[in-house]
Amino acid sequence: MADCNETIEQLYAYLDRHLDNELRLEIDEHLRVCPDCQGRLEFEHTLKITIRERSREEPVTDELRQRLLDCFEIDLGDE
Amino acid sequence: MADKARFANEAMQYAPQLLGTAMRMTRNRSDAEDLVQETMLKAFRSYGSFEEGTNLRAWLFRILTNNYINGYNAKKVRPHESELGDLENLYLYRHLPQLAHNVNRDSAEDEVLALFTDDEVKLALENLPEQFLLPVLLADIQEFSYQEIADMLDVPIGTVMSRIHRGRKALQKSLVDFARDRGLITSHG
Repeated sequence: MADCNETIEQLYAYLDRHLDNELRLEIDEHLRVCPDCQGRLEFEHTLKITIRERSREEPVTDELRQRLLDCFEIDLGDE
Repeated sequence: MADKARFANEAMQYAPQLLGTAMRMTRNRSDAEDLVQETMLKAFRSYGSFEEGTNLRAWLFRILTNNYINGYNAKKVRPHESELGDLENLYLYRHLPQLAHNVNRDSAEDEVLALFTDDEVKLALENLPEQFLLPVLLADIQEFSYQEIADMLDVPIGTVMSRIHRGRKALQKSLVDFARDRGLITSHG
């Protein structure tokens, strides 16, 4: 079973599901018995979602939309 | 070859995401709009080589990323990684109890995070050192896989991973600095 230090060290890789099976299971085991590390993991997860929701998209103005659509109007035959 | 009108239609649905990413890259709307336009133009010019059934979204972001790297990189200098000092694990988490004092209710974490304005979140991203910025934008904001990002940036997957991790820590550091500037956190822990 992993301890708190090991879990914190691997928290991001764990969050991203990017750990090999063995290490993941060791951390799973630790998380089951350690509310502190569960809380840490949940916070990092919440933070990631919050940042994503607030910055994923920017509204496209009508003017830009038209500029972009114009890109597609170019006839390939003219190239 | 893909159908022209359908290609345009499908590509356009990703414009808000491309623009969001471009704005974090260039840090201003005008450059970001130009970058997205160049991306669409380039995508359309080479759409004949785009294979239907492959991931259009990843393809567009790859073009966007390459345009940015080749055209905008040197324009505005971001802090260098070495200027950030030590990057700690759980930096923001450790300041949660103090931050929570600014929220009335027995506050859930997302309520505490609501203390940060959208502008602060965006600025924290935009101020990331260059080598962290793209991996964080592509992974955490646009949800591409490590492998997709490694392909887009042409760096090994291990490098992508360590840059994402360090980038997240740097971002937390920025947010803590903002909170301190606004008096939401008083200690210098």
